[in-house]
Amino acid sequence: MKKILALLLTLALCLSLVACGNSKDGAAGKDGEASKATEGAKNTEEIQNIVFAMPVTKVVDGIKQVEDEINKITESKINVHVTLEPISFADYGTQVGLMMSGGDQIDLITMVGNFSQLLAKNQLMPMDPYLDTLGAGAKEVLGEKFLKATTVNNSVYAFPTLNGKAAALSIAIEKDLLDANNISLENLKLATTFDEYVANLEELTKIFEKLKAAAPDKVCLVPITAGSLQFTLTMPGFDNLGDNYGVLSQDGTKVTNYFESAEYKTLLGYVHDWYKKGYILQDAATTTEAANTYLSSGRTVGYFITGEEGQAEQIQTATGVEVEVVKILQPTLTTSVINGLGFGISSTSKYPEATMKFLNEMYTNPDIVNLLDWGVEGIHYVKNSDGTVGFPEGVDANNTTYGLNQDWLFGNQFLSFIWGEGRDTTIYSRLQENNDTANYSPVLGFSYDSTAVKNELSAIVNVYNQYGPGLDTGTLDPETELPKYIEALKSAGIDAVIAEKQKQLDAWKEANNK
Amino acid sequence: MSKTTTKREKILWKRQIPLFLMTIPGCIYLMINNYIPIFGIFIAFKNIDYGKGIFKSDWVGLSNFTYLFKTKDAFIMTRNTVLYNLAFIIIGTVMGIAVGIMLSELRGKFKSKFYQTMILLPYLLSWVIVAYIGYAFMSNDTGLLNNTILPKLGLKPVSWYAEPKAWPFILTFVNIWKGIGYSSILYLSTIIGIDKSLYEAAQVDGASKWKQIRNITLPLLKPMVIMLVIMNIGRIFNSDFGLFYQLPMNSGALYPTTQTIDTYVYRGLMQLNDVSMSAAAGLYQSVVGFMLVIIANSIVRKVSSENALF
Amino acid sequence: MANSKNERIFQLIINVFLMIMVILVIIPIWLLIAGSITDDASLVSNGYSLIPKVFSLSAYEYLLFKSKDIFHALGISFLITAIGTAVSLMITPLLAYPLSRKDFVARNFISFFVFFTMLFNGGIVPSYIMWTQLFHIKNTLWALIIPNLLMNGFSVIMMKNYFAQNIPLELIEASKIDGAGELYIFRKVVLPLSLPIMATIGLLVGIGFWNDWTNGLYYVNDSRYFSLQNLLNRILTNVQFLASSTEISQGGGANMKLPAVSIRMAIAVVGVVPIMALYPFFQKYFVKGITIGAVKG
Repeated sequence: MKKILALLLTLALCLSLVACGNSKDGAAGKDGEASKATEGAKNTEEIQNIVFAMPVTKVVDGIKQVEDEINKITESKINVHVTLEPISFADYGTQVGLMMSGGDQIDLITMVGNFSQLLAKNQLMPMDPYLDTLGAGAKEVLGEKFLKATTVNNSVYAFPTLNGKAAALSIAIEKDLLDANNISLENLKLATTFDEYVANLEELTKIFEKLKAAAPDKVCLVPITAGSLQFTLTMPGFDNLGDNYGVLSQDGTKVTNYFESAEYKTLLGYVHDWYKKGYILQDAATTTEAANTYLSSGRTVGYFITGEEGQAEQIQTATGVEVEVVKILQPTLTTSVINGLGFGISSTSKYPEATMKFLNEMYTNPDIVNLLDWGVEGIHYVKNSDGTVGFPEGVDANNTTYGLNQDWLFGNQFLSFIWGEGRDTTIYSRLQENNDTANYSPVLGFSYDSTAVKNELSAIVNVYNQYGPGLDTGTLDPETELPKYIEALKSAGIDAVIAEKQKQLDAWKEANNK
Repeated sequence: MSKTTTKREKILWKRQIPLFLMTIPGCIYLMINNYIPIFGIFIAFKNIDYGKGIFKSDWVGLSNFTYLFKTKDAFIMTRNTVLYNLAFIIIGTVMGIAVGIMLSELRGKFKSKFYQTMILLPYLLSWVIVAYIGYAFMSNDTGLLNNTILPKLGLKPVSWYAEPKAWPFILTFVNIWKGIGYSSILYLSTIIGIDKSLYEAAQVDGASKWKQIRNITLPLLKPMVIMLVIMNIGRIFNSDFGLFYQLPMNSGALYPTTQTIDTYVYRGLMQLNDVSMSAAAGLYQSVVGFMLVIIANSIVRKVSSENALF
Repeated sequence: MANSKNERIFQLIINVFLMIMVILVIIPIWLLIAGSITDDASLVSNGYSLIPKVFSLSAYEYLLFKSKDIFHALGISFLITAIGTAVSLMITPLLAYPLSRKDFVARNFISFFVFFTMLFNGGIVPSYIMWTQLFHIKNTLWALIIPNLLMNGFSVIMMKNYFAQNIPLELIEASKIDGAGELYIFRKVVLPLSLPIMATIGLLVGIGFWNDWTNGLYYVNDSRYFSLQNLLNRILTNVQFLASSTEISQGGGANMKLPAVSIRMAIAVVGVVPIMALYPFFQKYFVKGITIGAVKG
């Protein structure tokens, strides 16, 4: 009996240790906050602590240093203390959902192509009360058009990331190979009609033929994102209305089934033809390897990439291969292109004002932007003489404690330094101009809520996964497989989804007097 | 007479107390870790609204379950899940016992250690890594099979990730490959515990090795086999996500033979990211498994009551 | 004479069979190791081969020397595995043993109570709420140890089964007549006779702790508490995610540098080697079990 008692006691001790360990942590944390708060109160008003659920692609040990530096600025300037909570990109949606349902403090959340899902589950708070006051700076730099993409029922729910949004479908090809074989890309034009687009693909067919003859061991194309070469799922004036299942007709009035269209069939004809001729990597449908890995190892001579100016430089920095990049399709800025990445205030936030103040800094204060993008100056980066930034002496990509390289995400990229000595520092002004002059979708601002058709959608996504990657990489023969795909989509209920989208689009148009 | 029985019962109750006390730490842990969260099953019947919080979200009845049955894939994924599980249970059990017995009969300490360690190795790898290895073998472009082995044998390359017929074999093989070390060691630990005098007596009687195995080892393994089978039946609607999703590299062409309930749910909810719908799927799998276990257990109870699980 | 000849043939068959199995294990694993010591460009352009075409240790150099995180994470992994396995081996047999006793009145009820946990679970959302709100384990070491892994129905039932089969009730009765208490019997009679199952469950639980990344995923964002598998899994899943996210690719992240294939393979090797090295330690008890079994008879 004594032994049992002893055992139980040990167990109780263990449990209490757990509890103690935590209460200590908790107490320390609270004390810390409290003391900070009192300090702040002495100066001006109370400093509010907000939590930024920050998506990261790697493990960053130096995040505390960055957080401290940010707080040095924000505490005195806007009375906000920011806690950076790094969360893996891959698990971001799940984690944020858990934190919100678990009652953890979370104030600032990032969206990654899931604006309408966040909205449907009521995860975002409307920003209107603060937009003209605390968020005025951000509102100004973002501009009316961009904010449209995150406006639903006349309320703004998020800020899209501000960067070069006019990303155009481009072809990148190894420069040495082009030069050595006198192959020119000058016949490729920025297509504004479907015929021009097809002409580009015809031209590319000839180019690939020459390239393949010149380098028979290499392929010409690899997928840039798993299971898609991208060019089959876009065309001039294309608005996928969020998810490709029901896209906007060319005249901007109807929601149609893109997979049934003559255009899609034509594009699939090209991709399958290229696949059969060996221009496309055999494993294209299944590989998860990055396109740049194939490029730097000499397996491919190029790929399609959707991007803005400066791609050639970026690719060369990443792979060491000099490439020529030509834009071949005029982009259409749609709701989902603009709100693909961005930031919103959590609907569970207790400090929406403070969060908005910080968000405003992310769009107007270069110091904050650069801290988030590159870390602390002197520790994680130094300024080069040409205005760019790079690693300090003795630090490299492998041993840096920050090095997120997520300048394309955090707020206003145009305030960020450009990484890498020798890079073009005038590029941002051109990107900004492209944003202004780009071709915008006639239904910009329409976000669709899939809640009513979620049963159909879950079946459709499965059908897409079954046929889409195979067709879009040319692995499957569209003659036989496309009809099966269309049939399977129909039986999964794509018509119901399209009808729902149409209904919402009509309602949106009426509300917006279009 | 009656006096003695009451006395015995008293003593028995007194004896029960220490046994009860011993179960307390474990029961508390299970209570906290497993039972409290089970109440969260209500999520499957709600439409989550994060602004309101999960407790105040609206009830939606069974509508989160409909997507599981609505499509014509429902039959294929259920069939695949059940058939693969049956295959894994049967082949896995036979192989596990066979290897467990071999390991126990093996002479030589070093050899035994060596084999055990080696066979256990795959169990330690995560599915993502196993998928990489699979890809290193079966890739069209860079795979060992298509680049080196098949050409040497004079065979044509096979496009493995587009060949659904091959996958029932590949999946079964890989599943056994990964799990055999684990299950054989489970059986081995039971075999090691068997009273050695039973074998010695059998040897004196001149029983052959095979007879010893058949008449001593196998009957003594029976309770454990029955138990493991019942436990596996409880999970017959579940599938190892890594095996069916990662290993086939999410290749659409393979769906007819690789789609299971878990992969369907995962793919279907990738875009929706809906916790209620995934909770609904989990509940559906559990309820079916639970009913099957109750049936299986009651059958076992009738046939040989001492082997029933509860 | 005939017997020993039979025995030799029997041993030969066993050895051949097990050798085939070992080869079936070694070839794929060697392919993994070979991949980790091959130059990246060669992997992508020449493909995989059993003998590296272009040898390179840069993946290991990167993992072991350039990123200091890995040793810290290794330490965390060892710590949680040791604590977790020890606690698990205390509470699991304590629960399993009474269930194995035919004279224990609550045997069926508690067995069902245990078994039920293997079928139903509430999913991650309620667990997360409970552990973080009630027990506040987020971003502590406990988060890696306590949820889910300390005890599971499977090991309880395995142990219960073993006790029921291998501990003769007469032995327990005899000890009782000698005046021994239940806990004394459990410690001095039952446990010594159960080393093989203790070693087996210890091994399985230990592997469970070593390989677990889900607890870290849900409950830890602070890199100080990342275990090895947690660290490795974050790298692997982020690679997969970045390779498939159109939003990030088109939003400007297309040229993010990802850890190369060889690094990912080296990661797998680094994760497996330490626990393999511990295996002989568990093995020892298998042998002990045999001798005790003989004495017992």
